[in-house]
Amino acid sequence: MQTYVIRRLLELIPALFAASILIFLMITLAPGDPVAMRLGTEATPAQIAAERTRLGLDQSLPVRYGIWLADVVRLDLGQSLYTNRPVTTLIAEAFPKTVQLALISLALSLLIGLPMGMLAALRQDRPTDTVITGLNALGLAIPNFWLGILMILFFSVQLRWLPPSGAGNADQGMVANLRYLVMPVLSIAVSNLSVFARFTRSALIDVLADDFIRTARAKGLAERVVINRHALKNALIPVVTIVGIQFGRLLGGAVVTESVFAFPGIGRLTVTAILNRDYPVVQAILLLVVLIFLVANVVVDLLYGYLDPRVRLGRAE
Amino acid sequence: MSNKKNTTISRRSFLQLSAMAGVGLAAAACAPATAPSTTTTAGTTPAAAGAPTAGGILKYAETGEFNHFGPWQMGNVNTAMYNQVFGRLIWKDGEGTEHGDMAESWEMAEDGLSFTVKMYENIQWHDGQPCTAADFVTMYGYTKDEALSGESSVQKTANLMKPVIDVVAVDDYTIQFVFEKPVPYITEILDYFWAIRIDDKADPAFMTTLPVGTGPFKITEWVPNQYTKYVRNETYHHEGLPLIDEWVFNRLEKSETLLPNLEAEGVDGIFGPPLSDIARIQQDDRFWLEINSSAGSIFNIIVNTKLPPLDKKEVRQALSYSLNREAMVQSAFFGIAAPITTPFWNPTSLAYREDLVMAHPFDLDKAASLLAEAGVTDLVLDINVTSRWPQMKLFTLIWQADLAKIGVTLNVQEVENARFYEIGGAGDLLGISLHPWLNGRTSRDPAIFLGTQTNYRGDPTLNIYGWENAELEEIVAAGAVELDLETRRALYQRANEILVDELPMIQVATDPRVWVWAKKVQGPYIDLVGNLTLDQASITS
Repeated sequence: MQTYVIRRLLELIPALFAASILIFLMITLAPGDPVAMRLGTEATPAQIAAERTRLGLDQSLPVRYGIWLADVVRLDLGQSLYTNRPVTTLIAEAFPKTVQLALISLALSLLIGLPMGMLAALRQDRPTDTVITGLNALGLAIPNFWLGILMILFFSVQLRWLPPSGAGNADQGMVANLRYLVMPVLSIAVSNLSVFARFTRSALIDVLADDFIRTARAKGLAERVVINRHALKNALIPVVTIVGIQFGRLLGGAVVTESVFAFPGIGRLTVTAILNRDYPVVQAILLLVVLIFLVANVVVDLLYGYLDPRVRLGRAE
Repeated sequence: MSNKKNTTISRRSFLQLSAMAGVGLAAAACAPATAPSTTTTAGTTPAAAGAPTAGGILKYAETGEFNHFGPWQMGNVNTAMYNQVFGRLIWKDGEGTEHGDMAESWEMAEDGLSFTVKMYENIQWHDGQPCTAADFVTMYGYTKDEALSGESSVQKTANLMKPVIDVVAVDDYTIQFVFEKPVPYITEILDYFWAIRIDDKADPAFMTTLPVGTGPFKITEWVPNQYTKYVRNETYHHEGLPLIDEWVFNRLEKSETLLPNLEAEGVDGIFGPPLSDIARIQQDDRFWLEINSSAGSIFNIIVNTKLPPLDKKEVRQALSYSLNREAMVQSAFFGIAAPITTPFWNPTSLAYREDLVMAHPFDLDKAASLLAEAGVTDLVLDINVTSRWPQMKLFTLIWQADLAKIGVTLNVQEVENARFYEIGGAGDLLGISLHPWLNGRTSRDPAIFLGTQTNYRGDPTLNIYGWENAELEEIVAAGAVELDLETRRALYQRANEILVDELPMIQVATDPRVWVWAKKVQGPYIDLVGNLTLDQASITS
């Protein structure tokens, strides 16, 4: 297992290198000039040219890529073209907030989504299943942006229970600051729990139809044992995959939710950086997201081994 | 001719007179009366719900994020903090009236070759250092400093300060601005000359260390992507001001969330709500609305005059006549803008001529005949719009439909903001025939407008879009140094005529700025730069 983990981690290096080329090309070849945007409508060609030189944007793409990559290897992600602040600082400020948001919303989604999916599977084609499936469809269909605005109007404007946006500040204390998380967490959880419930339902229905479940029942095992010890563990394999993917997505920033609630996480930073063609910030965030996904994949693969004894990853060596 | 200017009442005098009038706490009680009337209000105006009181925290929100804390940068996303943190010698209100801020008095030399300003003697920077005439000499030095030559904000101010050849500290509190030729509009230049101190030349944007100024509030905290905090400057040189203790400037991401934040009392004032929300706000008696055009920003269209047949004046005029500006203002601008055919639409401008404000009323027959006169048939044009300004797409769609009626095809494409700026920044518009754009400073002295908005110039070495007009250039040169007001007026009115006739840029509508305040907020006002000022703002209980 240890060898396998090391091998998988080493495999990340060429994947990250390939990703770095793609990311660099994607963002630098996208139409749009960050300098013209930054300097505004009154900028003269001479001012634009001087600014491009100052930022190193007048150099060829391979040279720019080489400089960027060399800096990244030294963990120097450069400076934001928009704010002139170090990219590492920007990410260090935003990432913990996104992690906090991701963890809480993921936990909430799992706490509600898994039991809902199980209940729907166990009551397949009955009214309970219909209601849960309908709610899931609704949860998936509601756009995050719309739901966010609706929640602001209801919880903040009408009821005055929750702050409409932001993330609070240190003066307010932890409990007060947690109130800022409620609506963003709910907004993300609604769609995520629907995804988890749907996957759990379909996976459990498939597993319940398998021969080994019939065998377990024939052996006279109690239904609770059949479900919890045999069916659920096997049904969780595809669910773990989707949880890993969703968690990776959330760590990459809940772009829409963070924008609606002005939550200062990675998602909002990404949107701002893309719109401003803030190359160093976008490149660094995308590389971070790729890294998160790759690591999440490794973790999910390791979990497979735990959930399914047939998968003996380390022993394959 | 003598051009002495020492008669304008300063803000301090305003306050002193108000105090003598026996209105209790001078600044507090007189704030609404002394606040210069710079704005046009719409809907319900601030209610006299109670006397303005000192103290309290004013919470405010805009979209965007700070990318510069220096006022010389004049960037839209940053402007709301300028007048709170920084002071100027002289500033102009929305009607163009001069006021002293750091200046007690000022005077133009008879030959027009120098301008002398006497400062108040009690001005301090926020860190306690005295602010004296020497600081203005240092500031002028920034515009010549090689180490700061790559800084865009310094370049902008250096461009404005070009006519000034020297700044001299006559004594600790007297500054002399020296010119090679007369600069009749020097107070307009000084309106942009905020007092700044660049202690670290590696950080002229103040993004590492927050700036010190001489304004009514000190900036104390910046939490990126969330807010900046400002506290009352206890040593502010205008006694009794500011009224509020603290100002918090929140940063939101989506303009659609601005109004809900105000409605939820998360903030007390917002800037830039979607225009579609205006009608709803006007009907809500909890708020008052300020629609302000002081900044003089306008929506216009760059014409690619290098691209036939747009090189023909008749074709450009045909396009101007085909714009149903009235309908566009009603539909795309929700009725808050004004239709215009000239950049000099504001009666306060020296170049203003009433007959040119709407010189090309909507007339498709006239447009068709002008096209026929130019021998143009089956004209196909293209234009790109950005979602950054939704009104742009709306007015181009109206235009597209009208042009189709006279056989002109207008292809409208929506592009990202960064691409939009890239096209507008290219001299050939990347081969595109038309490009919507915005220009500012139309309310300023025409010398300022024509000195900074080079797309209106007739010198192709300045105008990247290549339009040429020698007469306009002669006027620009003459107007900038002419001391006689009426001669200047005549010169600039002729410039106005040329621009409306030649149409290197086609004007569409004004671009008002919109603020919404809770009724409890009184006293914010807007200067001629279009910037918010909160020194007299108060919150009624």
